[in-house]
Amino acid sequence: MKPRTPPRLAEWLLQRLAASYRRDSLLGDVLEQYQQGRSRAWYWGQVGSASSWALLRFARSATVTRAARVILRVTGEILAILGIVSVSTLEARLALGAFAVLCFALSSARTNVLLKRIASAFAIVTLGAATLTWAAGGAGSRIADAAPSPAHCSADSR
Amino acid sequence: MRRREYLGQLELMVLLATLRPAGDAYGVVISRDIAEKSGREVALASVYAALERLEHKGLVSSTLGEPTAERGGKARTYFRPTAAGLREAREACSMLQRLASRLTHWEGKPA
Repeated sequence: MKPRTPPRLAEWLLQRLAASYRRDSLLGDVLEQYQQGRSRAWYWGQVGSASSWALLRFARSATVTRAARVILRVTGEILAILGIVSVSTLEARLALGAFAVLCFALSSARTNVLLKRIASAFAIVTLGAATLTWAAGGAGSRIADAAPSPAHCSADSR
Repeated sequence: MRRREYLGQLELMVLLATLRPAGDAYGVVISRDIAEKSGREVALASVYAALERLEHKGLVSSTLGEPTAERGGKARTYFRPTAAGLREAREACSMLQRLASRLTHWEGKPA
């Protein structure tokens, strides 16, 4: 019986995407089952499974985890800076912003886990409150700007 | 209390599938055995991922067979459970049986 040839692209992808652990045995097993009558779709399914495992392995790798941690920390700090800039436009809210930044700094520092959680919760609540009051203040001032002044009204009525 | 790592469902199935008297458990056989007994197909890559974890935990050991032409010159890897693997499988199964015994209490009750 003439041996069947698996899809060339699928074979190439499987060779590259399969995990290094017992790779040759895995490739041999897939080929053996294909020779025993499995379909091309089944072969492609094996490629899909191998690539999803490869993706999971990559996501779990120490380098990616470390990079994700750094990105999260930087994003948190940028958010804190944005928060402080937004609230500091109104002097009275500067303290709130400063408190939020302090909480973020505490939560990202190498401190006790419980302290980190408390600081993160405070930071989220403080930043949320500061943003809400800033938005409410902005909306209030826009309404005040849009409303006609009493002097203007009296001039019109005449 | 001793902190221990529990086996996942697939890990346990793969570990139990390596229990073959002939000692001929390799990827295809394990995957076919699971499909027959559980009624669901398991990809070979998933089987190997579980085997890697099991070997890392010291629950299975592996030996390399002879390469064959049917497999494109690739050798089979045969797996067999270690003494720790047998113990772990026995403990996991008895724990599941103890927990599953509660099912009988619920069967007569209305939903």
